[in-house]
Amino acid sequence: MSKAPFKIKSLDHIVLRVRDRDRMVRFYCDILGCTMEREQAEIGLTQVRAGQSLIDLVPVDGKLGRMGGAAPGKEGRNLDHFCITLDGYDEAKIRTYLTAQGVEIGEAGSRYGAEGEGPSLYVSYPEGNVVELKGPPWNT
Amino acid sequence: MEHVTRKRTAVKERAAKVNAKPPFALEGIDHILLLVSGMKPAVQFYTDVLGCTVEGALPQYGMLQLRAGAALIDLVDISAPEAAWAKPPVSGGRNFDHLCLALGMHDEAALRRHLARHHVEIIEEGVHGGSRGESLSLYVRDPSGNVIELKGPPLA
Repeated sequence: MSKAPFKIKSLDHIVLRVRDRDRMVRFYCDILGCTMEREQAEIGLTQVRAGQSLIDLVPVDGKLGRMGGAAPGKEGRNLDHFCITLDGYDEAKIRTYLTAQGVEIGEAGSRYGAEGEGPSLYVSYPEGNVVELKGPPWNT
Repeated sequence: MEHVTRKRTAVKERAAKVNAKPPFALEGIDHILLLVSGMKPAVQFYTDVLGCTVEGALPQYGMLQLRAGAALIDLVDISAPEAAWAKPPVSGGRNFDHLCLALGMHDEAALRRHLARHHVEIIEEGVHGGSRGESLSLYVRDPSGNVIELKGPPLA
């Protein structure tokens, strides 16, 4: 039993290091449907909302990005992937939609997430990153 | 004439692509799969210091799934042979700057004492906006060097 004097409620946000900010914004906002939350160009930070979480994009050549070490690439990474929960999961429709947007779709399967076992698929996006899109658990 | 038609079709197709709406709505981040080097110190940090609990294990992949409130933090130990699938060919590249955990109400002094007791250094702190609003953030590192932001509820 941990004696931590606090409780984690959830993941608030994740900060991704990116090479091409505009391309990432197009992926998250135009394709996945994130909304623009806040932009601080002077420090190199773009925040987009994905439901109750934020995804922060930090270009590696911006003020914040330069403090963060080596640039990302398919070969070098410290995050394997992250997963976004979807409201409305129709795999056929999602495939049709993402394919039309030119997004590369990886393996679909039944996987374990924070709400339990449910359908999910992996999507590859610019700069060699992978995001998992996950539907509600089977038993709901 | 034909090339004009082709051009128009291409423009129309591009417009359709931009205007298309996703057939889903985003709810939030469900989990994140972090690369760590050495599972034992990582688990100690995430459970003893941060209060996560071990929810599942996939030893065949060198993976552990930890509960972090409504979300999961999955760890894969790239120093283990089972995790060869996740090991980047080049080390040191960073596609991820940090992860922020939303904390419930807590006593800030007790949190600082707790971190000090576990010899966890606060590498940076400040009041920033998060998904819930502005509040104090403390930044710490896990034993593999991943940066974790601990963020309290928004200031009233």
